Amino acid sequence: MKRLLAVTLGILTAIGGFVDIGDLVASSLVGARFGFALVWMLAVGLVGICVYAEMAGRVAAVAGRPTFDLVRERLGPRIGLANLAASLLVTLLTLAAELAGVALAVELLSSVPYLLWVPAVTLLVWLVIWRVRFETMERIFGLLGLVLIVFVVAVFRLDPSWGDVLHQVTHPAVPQGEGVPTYLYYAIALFASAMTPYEVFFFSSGGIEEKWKPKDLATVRVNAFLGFPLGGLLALSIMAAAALLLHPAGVSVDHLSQVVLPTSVALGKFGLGLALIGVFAATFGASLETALSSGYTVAQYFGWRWGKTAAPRTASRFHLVVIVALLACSALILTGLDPVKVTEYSLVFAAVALPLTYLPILVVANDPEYMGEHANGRLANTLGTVYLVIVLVISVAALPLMLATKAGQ
Amino acid sequence: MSARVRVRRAGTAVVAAAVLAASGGCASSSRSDGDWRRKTAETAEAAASAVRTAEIGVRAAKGGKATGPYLSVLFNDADKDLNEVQSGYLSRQPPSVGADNLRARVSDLLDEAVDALDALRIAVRRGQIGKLAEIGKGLPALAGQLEAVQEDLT
Repeated sequence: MKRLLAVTLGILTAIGGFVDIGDLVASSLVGARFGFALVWMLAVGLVGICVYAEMAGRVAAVAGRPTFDLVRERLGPRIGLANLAASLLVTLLTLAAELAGVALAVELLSSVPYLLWVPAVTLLVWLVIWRVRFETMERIFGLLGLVLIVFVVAVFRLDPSWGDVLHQVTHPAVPQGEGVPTYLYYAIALFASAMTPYEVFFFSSGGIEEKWKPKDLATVRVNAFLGFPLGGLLALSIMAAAALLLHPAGVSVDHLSQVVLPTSVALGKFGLGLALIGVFAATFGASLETALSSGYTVAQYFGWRWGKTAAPRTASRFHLVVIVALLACSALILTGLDPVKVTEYSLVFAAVALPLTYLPILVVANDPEYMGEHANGRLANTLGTVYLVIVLVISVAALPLMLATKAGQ
Repeated sequence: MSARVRVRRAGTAVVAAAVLAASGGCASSSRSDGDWRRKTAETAEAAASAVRTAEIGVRAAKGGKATGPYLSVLFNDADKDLNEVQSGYLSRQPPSVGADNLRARVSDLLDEAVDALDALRIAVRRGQIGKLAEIGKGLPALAGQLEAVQEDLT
């Protein structure tokens, strides 16, 4: 039990990264539209985030430096500011969508329109950030988010032909009627959702909040190599459930109500209830993660005192940024903007900003002056370099593909 | 060019790209029969998707596998999608007399689909979950007709 509780930071971070509101809909949409033909990209993104989360966590534990601190130091104040603006925009768009996601989950339980729930959800998120201890927060929402494992059970209950599934996974092909650019657009969206910058900001800052030291490197690795794959498994099961039930029916997924439909068909009201609790916990956890990440990035860039564990009186500017972010995002969603569309666009913008986040991590994790004997080995460097090339290619291709496919239409 | 100007231009390009992408769903007029047929096929596909969603929801309701509040939101979402599809399609002008016939055929199917989903939505709101199977019994055939239109045109 103690070991399980030690990885809740990784689980909470991964749940934010893999099954937040945008990912829930994107995974289901991809499964319904492309079947199992894009599972490979989820796997590519999963390995990438494991590699870089481990590096960011290791740097936090050994050098005591969170990711955005390094971004500014290594890229300089100007490019650092551009990165801050881009990352903050993506994080705020995501936060807005997460607040709506929590409200949408409550709407599915109550049938009361989600916009009415948004102010209450915003207040609750702020109260949790203000009053609940960091470790308690990550344990409650990280572990509760694991209820989404109900999608794994649903996949088995839908009784797939495993040979057929394996063939589709290992022989991916663009489905009939779909263009290659659209296929690539969704591949990029999946990759960006797995490697969203706020994940490493939150993970490394969370490590410092938890006072990780070099002796905790095993905990860092277990968090990175167990927590993130768990998040990836949940995303995969959501995609698979949609591929098995919605793809053959020709259903196009645009709403959260369609995402949880396979659990209802496969497992009845109990399964549906668990799925909705899981969605609530995952989106609430992602709201906490993105709200805190907004504060972390701004405070770390400007060199302010930061931290959820720091008393508000001593880290007032950090807490003020979090409050302003919550209010602004709540106001944005109350305009009636479609939250699912908001995250779809934020994923593409995240793809553009990826290299500026991951380059400094790779450089510092490789620097013996900071890292001493814990600097990157050959395997970490090889994987890190390969993924840096991949994120560069993806950041260049993201916007042209979005335009060419009219955002995947 | 100064760094500030470059950053501003890059920002403008990003915003312009987002606006262009976001406007991708706007209806536009069809200049040829081929274009009209393609848009009609897309409309039939989107409408069939909404009807199939409702059909799966009805199946879940029939087996006692879904709650009333959930079904209410599911049918509302499908109905909203269908209404958007219908209004988008009807706002386009058919380019020829031949296209008029196709428009009439698809328009009838869309009307039928909207009526069916409205009936489901209203029944759930009134708590008549037990009647959903009866109300929704025509959905598979309706979805099949919409899919047939799509297949004919592609």
